[in-house]
Amino acid sequence: MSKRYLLISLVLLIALWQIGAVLLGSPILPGPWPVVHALLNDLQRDLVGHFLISAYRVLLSMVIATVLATPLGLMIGQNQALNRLLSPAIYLTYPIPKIVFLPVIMLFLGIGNASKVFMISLILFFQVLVVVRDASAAVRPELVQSVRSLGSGRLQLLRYVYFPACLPAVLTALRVSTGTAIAVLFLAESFATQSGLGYYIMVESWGRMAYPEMYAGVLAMGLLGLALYFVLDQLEQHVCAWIAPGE
Amino acid sequence: MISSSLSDPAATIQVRALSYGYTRADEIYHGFNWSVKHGESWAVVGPSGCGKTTLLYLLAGLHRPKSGEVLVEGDPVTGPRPSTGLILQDYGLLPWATAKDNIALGLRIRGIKARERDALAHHWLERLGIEAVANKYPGQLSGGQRQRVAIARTLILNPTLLLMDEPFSSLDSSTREDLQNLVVQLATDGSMTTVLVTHDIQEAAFLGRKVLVVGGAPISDGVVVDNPLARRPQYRHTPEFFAKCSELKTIALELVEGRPGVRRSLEVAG
Repeated sequence: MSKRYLLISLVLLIALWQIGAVLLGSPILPGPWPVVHALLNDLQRDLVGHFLISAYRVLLSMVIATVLATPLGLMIGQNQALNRLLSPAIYLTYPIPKIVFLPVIMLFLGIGNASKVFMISLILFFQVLVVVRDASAAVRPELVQSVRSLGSGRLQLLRYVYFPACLPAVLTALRVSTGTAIAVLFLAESFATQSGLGYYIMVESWGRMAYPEMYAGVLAMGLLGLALYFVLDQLEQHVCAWIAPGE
Repeated sequence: MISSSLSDPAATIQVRALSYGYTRADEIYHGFNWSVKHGESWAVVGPSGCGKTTLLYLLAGLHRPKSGEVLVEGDPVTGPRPSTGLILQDYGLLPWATAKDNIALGLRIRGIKARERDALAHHWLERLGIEAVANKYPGQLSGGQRQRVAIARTLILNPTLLLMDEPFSSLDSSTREDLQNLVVQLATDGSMTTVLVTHDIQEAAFLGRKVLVVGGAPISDGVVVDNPLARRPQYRHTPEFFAKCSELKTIALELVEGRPGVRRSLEVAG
C-alpha cells in the first residue's frame, strides 16, 4: 500500500464528507473541521481515557482468543478422532450470532470489563479456532515426516512445523475480524457502562445531541480499528515474510 | 549379473519377514527379507506407488512394521535414529525458514548451540555452493538449490546411513546429473551406506552398485542386480550403462507383469 494513495484516499474521503455536510446543511452531519476541533478538544479531557479503555478491552480479547483457540485448533487439526468429536459442535455453534448472548453474559459477569472482554473473545475464539484447525490439518504429511526424521519429538513438531504453519492463518483471522471486534465492542460499551468509546458516542454525545463530539467518538473508534489493522498487517508482513518473498 | 542377498548379522540394514499394510488385503510388504552391508550403495527401483517410499519410512523409523523386524546397525528400529538421514522427493523443507535455518534445523532440534550451528551451516552452505542463497526462503530457490539445501540439512547431522526418496525426480536433466554426481562424492567422502528409491531406471543404474528391483504390492521379494561400475561420472555414457538399464527394465517389466516362469529363473532376494 503506497503512502501516496493512502493520502489521496484520505483527502477524497474528507472532501466527500465536507460536500455531504454542505449539501445536507443540518447539525446532524457537521463537516470535518468542527469534528476534528471537537476531537482535539476532547482529547485533552476524557476522550483519551475512553480510547485507551476500549483499546485495552479489544486487545485483551484478541490475546485471550488467540491463546485459547490456537492450541485447541492445533490439537483438533492434528487429531482425527478429536476432530470427529468436536467438529460437529463447532459446526453448530460457529454460525450462532454470539452477540445475542450479551444480556446473558452481562447478567453473569456484570457490566465491567469482564463481560465485554468475554463477549469479544468468544466471537474471535471461533474465528481463530476454525482457521487454525484447517491450517493445522492442511500441513503436508511429508513435511512432518521429514522433520521427524531429523529427530523431532511432538513438542518440537508443534514449535517448528505446526505453529509456524498456522501463524499466517491466525493473523489473517485476527485482521479480518478486527471490524467485528470493534463493532461488538461498540455495542457492549453503548449501554450499562461508564467508560469506553461506545459509551462516549452513545451516552456522552448522542444522548445530549452533541453531534461534533459524537462524530469525534466515531472517528476515534475508526482510528482504533485502523491502528489494530495496521499493527496486525505489519506483524503479518514481518512474521510471514516467506509467503510473498521479494527477490 | 544377478546374486542373492540374505540376512547377514554384520549388515547395516536387515529386514526380516517384514509385513506392512493397513489390512491384510492391502498389504504392501508380505514376508519381505533384505540385507544391506556397511558402505554399500543400493538403489531400489520399482513402479510408482508400489511401496518404495514406505520401505524408506520403515527403515527411517517413521513407520512400524506390522510384523517382522527392521534392524539398522544391529538394533531394531523403533523410531527415527540420529545417524540415519532421510532426503525426500519434495525436499521436505520448512517454507517459513531460510535456507540456512533449514540446514541448521536438525542441529537445533538436537539442542546444539547457535554459534556451533551457524558455523556448521555455513560450512555446508559453502560445500554445496549455495552460500549466496543462505537467507532466502525455499519459495525463492530453484529446484536444484532446494535439493542442495535438503542434502545439506541431512548431511550436516553426519549420518552413517543415508536414505533418499526419488530426490532428483523433479529436476531438469543437467541439474539432476550434477546433483547425482554430488551425492556420489559426498557419500564416498563420508563412507556412508546409501539407499536410494526411484522409479527412474537410469538413476538406479547410475547410483546403485546394487539394485533391488521390486514389482507391485504386496512385495515379498525382489531381484538383486549387481552393478559394480555404478557411481563413476563417465559410466552413464558407456554401452555397459545402457545394457544395465535395459537389463533392469526387462526385470522390472517381468516383475510387474508377474510372469512366474521368468521370476523363478532369477535368483531373488530373501
